[in-house]
Amino acid sequence: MHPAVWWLLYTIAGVWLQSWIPGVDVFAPAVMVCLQEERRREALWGIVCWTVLQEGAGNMPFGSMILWYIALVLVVTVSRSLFDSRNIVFILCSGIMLGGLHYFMTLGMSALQGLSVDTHRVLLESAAQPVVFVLVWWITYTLYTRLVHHETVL
Amino acid sequence: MEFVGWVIKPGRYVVHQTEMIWNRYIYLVGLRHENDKLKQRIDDLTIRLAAHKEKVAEARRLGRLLEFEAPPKWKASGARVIAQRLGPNAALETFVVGKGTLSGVKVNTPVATSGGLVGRVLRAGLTASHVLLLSDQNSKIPVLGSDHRTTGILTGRGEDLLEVRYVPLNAPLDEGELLVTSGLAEIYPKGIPVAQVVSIERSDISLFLNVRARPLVNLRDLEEILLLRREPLPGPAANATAADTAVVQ
Repeated sequence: MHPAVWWLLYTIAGVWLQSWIPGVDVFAPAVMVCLQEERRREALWGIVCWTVLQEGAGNMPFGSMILWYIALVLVVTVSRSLFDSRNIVFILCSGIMLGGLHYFMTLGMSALQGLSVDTHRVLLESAAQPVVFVLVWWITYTLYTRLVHHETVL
Repeated sequence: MEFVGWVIKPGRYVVHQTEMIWNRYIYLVGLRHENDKLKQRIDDLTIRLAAHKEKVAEARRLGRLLEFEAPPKWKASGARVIAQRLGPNAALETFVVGKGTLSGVKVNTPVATSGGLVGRVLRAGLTASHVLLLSDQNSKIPVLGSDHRTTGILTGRGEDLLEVRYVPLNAPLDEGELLVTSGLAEIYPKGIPVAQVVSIERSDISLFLNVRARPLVNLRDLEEILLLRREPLPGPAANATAADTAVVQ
C-alpha cells in the first residue's frame, strides 16, 4: 500500500476513534511510528495535517496542538539517543508523558485564555491517553510495517 | 395364487418402505432448505424492523422539534448533532452540528430544542459548527424567573446542575420556578425556557443567594437541535417601496 493511501485511511479511522473516545489523541502514535521508522517526511506531513485537523476539531483557541506535537517530537528525538525507541517500556513512558502533558497543557492554556475547564474530566482523559497511546501504537506499528511498502531508492 | 401373494406382498412392502424413506429424506432436505430461507428472512426482517423503529423514533423527535415556536422576529432551522467533543484540544463542553456559515450559522447563534435552550454556537465552520453547552463553566446566560421576574446569570458547573449567580439575598425566587432567558445579552431571544430552580440557600458570607438549577434539556443525548436566527430587518429599499405604494393608494 502506498504511504499516502495508508495515512489517509488512518486519518479517517482516527477521526472516528477520537469521536468515540473524547479528549484523546490517536495521531500521536502515528507520529511516533513515522519517527521510529525514520520516515521524517511522512512525520512532517502528518504533523502539519493532524495539527490543522485537531485545532479545527477542538474548541480551544489556536496553538495548543503545535506545542503538543513539538513536545512529542522532542521527547522521541532526545529519548532515542538513550533508549531503544521500539521498546514497549519506552512507548508506555511516552504515553504517560503525553497524558501528563495533556493535563498541564490544557489547564495552562485555558488559564492563559481566561477559560474554565473541568479538571476532573481532564485528569480522566490524561489517564486514558497512555492506554490508548500504547494500544494504537502497537496496532499502527504492526500494520504499517506489514502493509506499507516504500519504493527503494537505488 | 397364494405363492404370488407371498412373493408380491413382501416385495410391495419393501418398495413401499423404500419409497417412504426416499420421500421423507427428500422432504427433509426440502424442509431444511426452507428452514434456512426462513431464518434468512427472519434476519432480514429483524434488520428492517430495527431500521423502521429508528425511523419512528426519529420522526417522534423531529415532531417534538417542530412543536417549538420561534420567538417573534426569530427563525428556527434544524440541524443534526454529528459529533461530541473530539480530540485533546476539545476541553470545553461542546458538540458539533452539521451546519455552518454556508447555512447562515454565525458565532453566538442560539441553539435550542422544543424542551428549552441548549447553548450557543462557539465556532462556525463552513459546513459544521461547535455548540457551547449551557452546562460548560464558560457559559453565562442572563435569565429571569418566570413568576417573580428575578434576574440572575445562569452559569454551568461542568456537571448536571447549573448555578444562578448574582441573585440578591432578598430577591423573590421559589424552588421549582422556571428560568427563562431575559434577552439582555442580545444573544438569546427573550423568554426561552432554560432551567428549573432546584435549591435556594442563603449564604452567611455572601450578598447573594446560592441558587442551583437543572437544565430542561438532557444535554448528553441530543441528536437534533434548532438553530435560532434573527429574521432580517426590512431594509430602506423595502421601506421606500412600501411608502411609495401607500402614497399611490
